[in-house]
Amino acid sequence: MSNVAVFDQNAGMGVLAESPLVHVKGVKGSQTPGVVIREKAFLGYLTLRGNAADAAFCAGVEQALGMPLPKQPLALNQNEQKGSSIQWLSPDEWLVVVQGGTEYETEMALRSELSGHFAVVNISGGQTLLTLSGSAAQEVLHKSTVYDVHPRNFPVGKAVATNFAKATAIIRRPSEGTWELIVRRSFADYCYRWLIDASQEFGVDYE
Amino acid sequence: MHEAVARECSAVRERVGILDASTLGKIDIQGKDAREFLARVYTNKWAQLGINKCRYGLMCKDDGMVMDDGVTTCLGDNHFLMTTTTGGAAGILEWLELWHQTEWPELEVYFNSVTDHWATMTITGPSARDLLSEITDIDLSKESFKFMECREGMVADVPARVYRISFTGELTYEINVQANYAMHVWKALFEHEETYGLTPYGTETMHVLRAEKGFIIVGQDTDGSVTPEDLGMQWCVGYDKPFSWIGKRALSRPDTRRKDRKQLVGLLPTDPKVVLEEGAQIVFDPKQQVPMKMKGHVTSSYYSPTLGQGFALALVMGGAERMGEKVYMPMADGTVHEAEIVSPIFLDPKGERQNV
Repeated sequence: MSNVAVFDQNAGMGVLAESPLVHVKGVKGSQTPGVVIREKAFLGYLTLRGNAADAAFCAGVEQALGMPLPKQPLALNQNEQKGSSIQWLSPDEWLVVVQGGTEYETEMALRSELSGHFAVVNISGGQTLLTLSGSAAQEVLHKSTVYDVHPRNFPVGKAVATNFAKATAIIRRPSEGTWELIVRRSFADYCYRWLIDASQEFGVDYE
Repeated sequence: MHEAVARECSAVRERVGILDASTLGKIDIQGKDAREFLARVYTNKWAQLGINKCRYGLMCKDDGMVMDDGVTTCLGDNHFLMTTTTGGAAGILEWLELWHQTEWPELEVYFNSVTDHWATMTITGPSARDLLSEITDIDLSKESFKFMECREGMVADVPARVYRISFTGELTYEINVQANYAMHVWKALFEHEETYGLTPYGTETMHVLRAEKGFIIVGQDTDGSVTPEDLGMQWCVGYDKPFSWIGKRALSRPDTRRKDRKQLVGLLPTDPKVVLEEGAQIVFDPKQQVPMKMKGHVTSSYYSPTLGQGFALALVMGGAERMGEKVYMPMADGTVHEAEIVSPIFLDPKGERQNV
């Protein structure tokens, strides 16, 4: 462990944390919203790197996270009990999303289960997550990305990192009625405002 | 605008200023071959860099021309944090991946962007230590936290990494915290605003302060045709390193060894009120016929409130051997500016201000 410097970066209570969208205020409860947008702020995010062909690596990840390592490109696995997920990003790279404040213990759990050549990096300050639901959520995504979000191409359990409104974002489909967008901190304000604007024609409820 | 920059420059040189440096590219590097990889992509040496020590690094493309620079810190034997220029952040990550995947896949190392994760607040100036000591449990005494070192500790009740590195030439601490806590730390610093004269400064001021020290900006003072030696940075090139690092071979070509290459120099205009135009062409003889023989150009130029005059950095053919000589900048309106070639370090050449 001494070879890599890991420390708990969470401040205690009494320190005000601010999400990248702290400055934006919206309208809650519009009459008949076609799109409902919510931010899930302050989640924990870890980048995981390793060799998916190494059975010990895969077993260690599953042991630490309580869900299997997705080996198929663009696959999203979830642990509903823990409210966590792991997403394939590239052949040796995954994004782990956990409940806020548990990223340090999750990193330590991964480090104690894994050995050899791997990396875990805490990136929890680097992005935020938005959920899109409502009857027109898919329509809004159609307007915003060149990626085909039609259900025949984008089933539940899929996640892609792609272009979004000329910026980049991760688009995920964790369940039938819900889409998730993970946006970089520096793009968060822009992507959020884009979504609000693109959703106007359907009626939008956001906070 | 000019008044604001002058005010901010004076605040940093006399008391303490603060810059939001969060945009700086940051790459987390882990793996048992991380150190070896750094030695291959940087021109200088990394074998001896100890834990919690920082080092300036210069990167060349395979043609031997400077492509990026930044400070990299050893956080653990298998763990480094590389910083890159703001604009170069994405490109350098791709560059590292390219060389790893195509040339040296046997090296066990992973690169991950942490640019957005860390917020960086740079506090710099003679009062930086006193200011930071108000809100941290880190021992800031000059004996225990030296220049070019890194420490972990609490800053305003937030876990932080603090790097003692300097782009202004002043006593400087770069406070890094998880970005969600940045505003909290910023406000905690500003609770001591009046005591220390804490002044926020922007990128333009940063440009003036670094130019006074002769610190280059890759892409402004370089243009893809400039070698480390052209910048007078021979000290940052390890020709005797065991592995043939990127750019080494190109730097042994006769063309990159010419004595009359364009080299980085300082310029002091004869008229101290003149601020030369960036990009202005430089000639040695202003009376020659048009088209004149171009011998270089101005790369950075500002008014310095500290020096009380305009000053510039420039690339001049054979400039390193021309100290004290006069050069001329004929402008489109017919005026001709005269300046003297001087060292590119205008302030505190021994680095005493940052090493206190």
